[in-house]
Amino acid sequence: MQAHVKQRVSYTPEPQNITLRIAREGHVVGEFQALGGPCEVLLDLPGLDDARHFVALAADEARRIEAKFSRYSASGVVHRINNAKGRPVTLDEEAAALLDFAQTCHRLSDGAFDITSGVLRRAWTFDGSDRLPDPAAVTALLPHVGWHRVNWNRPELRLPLGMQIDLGGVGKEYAVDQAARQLSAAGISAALINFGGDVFALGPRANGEPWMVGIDDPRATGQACVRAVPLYRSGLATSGDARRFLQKDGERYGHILNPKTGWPVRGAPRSVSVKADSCVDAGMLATFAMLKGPDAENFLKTEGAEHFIIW
Amino acid sequence: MQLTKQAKKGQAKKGQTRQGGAVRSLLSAASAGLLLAVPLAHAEGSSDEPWRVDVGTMRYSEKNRINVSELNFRAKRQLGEEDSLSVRADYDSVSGASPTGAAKIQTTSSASGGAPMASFKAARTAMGVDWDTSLTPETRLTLAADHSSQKTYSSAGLGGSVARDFNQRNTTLVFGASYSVDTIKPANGIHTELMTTNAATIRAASEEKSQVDLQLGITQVLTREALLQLNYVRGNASGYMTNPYKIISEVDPVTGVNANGVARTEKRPDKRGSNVIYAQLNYALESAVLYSSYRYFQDDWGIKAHTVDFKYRKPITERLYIQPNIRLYTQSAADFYRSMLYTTEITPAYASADYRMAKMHTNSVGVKLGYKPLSGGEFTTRVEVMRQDGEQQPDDAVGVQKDAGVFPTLDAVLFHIGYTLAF
Amino acid sequence: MVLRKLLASLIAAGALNGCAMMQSVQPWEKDLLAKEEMQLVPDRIEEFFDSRVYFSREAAFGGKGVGGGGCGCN
Repeated sequence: MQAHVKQRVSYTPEPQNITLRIAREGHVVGEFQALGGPCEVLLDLPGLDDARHFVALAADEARRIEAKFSRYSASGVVHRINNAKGRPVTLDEEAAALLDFAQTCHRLSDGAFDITSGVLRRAWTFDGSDRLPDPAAVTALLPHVGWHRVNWNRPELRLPLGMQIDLGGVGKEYAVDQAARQLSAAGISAALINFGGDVFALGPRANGEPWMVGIDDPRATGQACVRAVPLYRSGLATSGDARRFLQKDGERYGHILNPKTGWPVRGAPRSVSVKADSCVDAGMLATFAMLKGPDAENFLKTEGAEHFIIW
Repeated sequence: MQLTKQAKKGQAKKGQTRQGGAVRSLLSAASAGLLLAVPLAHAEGSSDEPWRVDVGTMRYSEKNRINVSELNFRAKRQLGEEDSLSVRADYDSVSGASPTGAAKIQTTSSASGGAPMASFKAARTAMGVDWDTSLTPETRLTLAADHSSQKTYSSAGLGGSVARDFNQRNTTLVFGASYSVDTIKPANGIHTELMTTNAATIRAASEEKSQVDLQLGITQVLTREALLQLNYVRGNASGYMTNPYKIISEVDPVTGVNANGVARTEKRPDKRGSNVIYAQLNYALESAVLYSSYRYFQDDWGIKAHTVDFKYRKPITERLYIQPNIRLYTQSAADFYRSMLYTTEITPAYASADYRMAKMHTNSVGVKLGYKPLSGGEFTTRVEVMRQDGEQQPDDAVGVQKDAGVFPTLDAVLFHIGYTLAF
Repeated sequence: MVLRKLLASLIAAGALNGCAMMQSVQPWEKDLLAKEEMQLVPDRIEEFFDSRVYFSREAAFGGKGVGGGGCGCN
């Protein structure tokens, strides 16, 4: 036998549009804008130069996914699907995998998670006011909502006229996990990725300690943390309505909509954070819990997922 | 939501962590599939193609001695990102004659000829499988198993190695181990050793030999252009290592005459410990690559050998490259090497007249051409000539044997064509 | 004592890492090293033929890895 060992060498080009600093705790923080918000990568590396490369690797991945899957990106596949005017669109491997995944999530949530429910935003504007939509306008949109109306025959997708899809409910988490995969393949383990609040820790810090992640208080967003979560190697994601809600007659209407009624899920928590093996898992579990309304806590308990709920 | 590095105690409720949960496990199966749906960009220095197949055929011809025709097949399948499985199959057929070890001259009256030869013909098939996987992002494990068989010889081996990357993948440490067992089953049986060929009797139908190898290696990226590998391999063989087809002539200690062609069967120690140090440097010179290697081999049979090898690969066009190579090898004789025994001596404990145990050297030069057609894949063809020579008058040669020369000089040509395709 | 010599050389090689004179090569500087032909064994079949031919004609063997051999070569 000949058990030869192959030298693993990977080459990646050099980076831009990133700011770097060294935090008090000694790690490097790389910041950039992507996926519609601030993103950061925390790394335990001694030098900024080394870190720049790895932060860029994560940034490139975030921007690649944004360009491909954001519904605002005119060159992206979601844009192409939403503007196909009832014609079938052939998807590549990655887009098809995301749709398959969305379909699985639709099934696992008994139809509550639905990537076609974005159409309802035409009726709903969650601006903290008391301006509820006209119930008739909501009802009028319902025929354009529902994954069961979509013709998904991998790799071909045909959306009935008037329907749209939005992968915003999974895109950011997906980007976090893919960026983590890139860093991991580049040999990095002491790092934490945070794309707009969706987090994945690739491994403990260089000193063996966990990364500490604070969970934002939705009642004082940006100013206070309700809890510090230690992460060694796992994902953490939060679903919540920090500023996106309506309030009328003492009743709060969160931005999580039930695709079957077109109305917000009643009695849902203000914020659900879940820790799971991947960021996508964490994000989906948090979303599913939100969609369960008052049963959010029970659901997460039954699933055995470590969670933090704020009512 | 926003994250900060500090936290205050809050009123959040912390859930229990409990295993199980149908949704959670289905979800995590689905998300695992999702993340691996696309291959990594800039993947590990190799292509993203899931299959890689190599086929090759070789013709090796020795002047007046043996010819080997060989077919090779290799297929490697990438299984996801972290795992790959390779299979190997080889078939070769050997025919011709090889020196028996007997002295060139039996009596003074015979014409001086070449070394006495024994003809043989053999076909061999070999198969192997390798599995390569990642234990952690920095650690890889390779496990391998092989089997080869021919009518009179079979071999089975298992091995594994663990490689760990450090220092941003600039350093890799490797630890490897293998174990193999060979069974030798000559058509005429295993004969009693160091007996005259008339008196030797069959003492067994077959014999076994086992070999354990341990490897300790380091690979280091030295500069942007240079990659260095250093290996130490310790080998421990035990069992039957005598060559049942070789004999040693018994000659008159003064005249060198081999009266009646008397010869004895050979015998080698049943233990062999070897140490190998191997160094290889790959150096990129713009579009060309220079490969240099040096090997020092030493064993407790008293053999010391040095090998240097240089290959220089230079592109001629985008699709065509040329790679000349030169290899120089030299070894000292085994302690028990005897070009001949004397009629008057007490038979030694071990003795072999096999030229491969003699002090000798091999020089080879060759050239390889590689061509990558537009349609994909790569064709390679290679020609190498080799000359092996040793001492014609070793210290223990006497009388007429000295005049005839002892070492069976070998000239050989190797011709090889191969094709590789990834898809 | 060969072993000792060897360990010394391995340690020396390991020490190269920590050596301040040597800058560690960054991933984006590995364009040359990432090429297929910079692999330690760029052509497995060529390697196999070589090891097979020389294994059967010389006393020394191995060095590139563990295992190898396994023929009743005349």
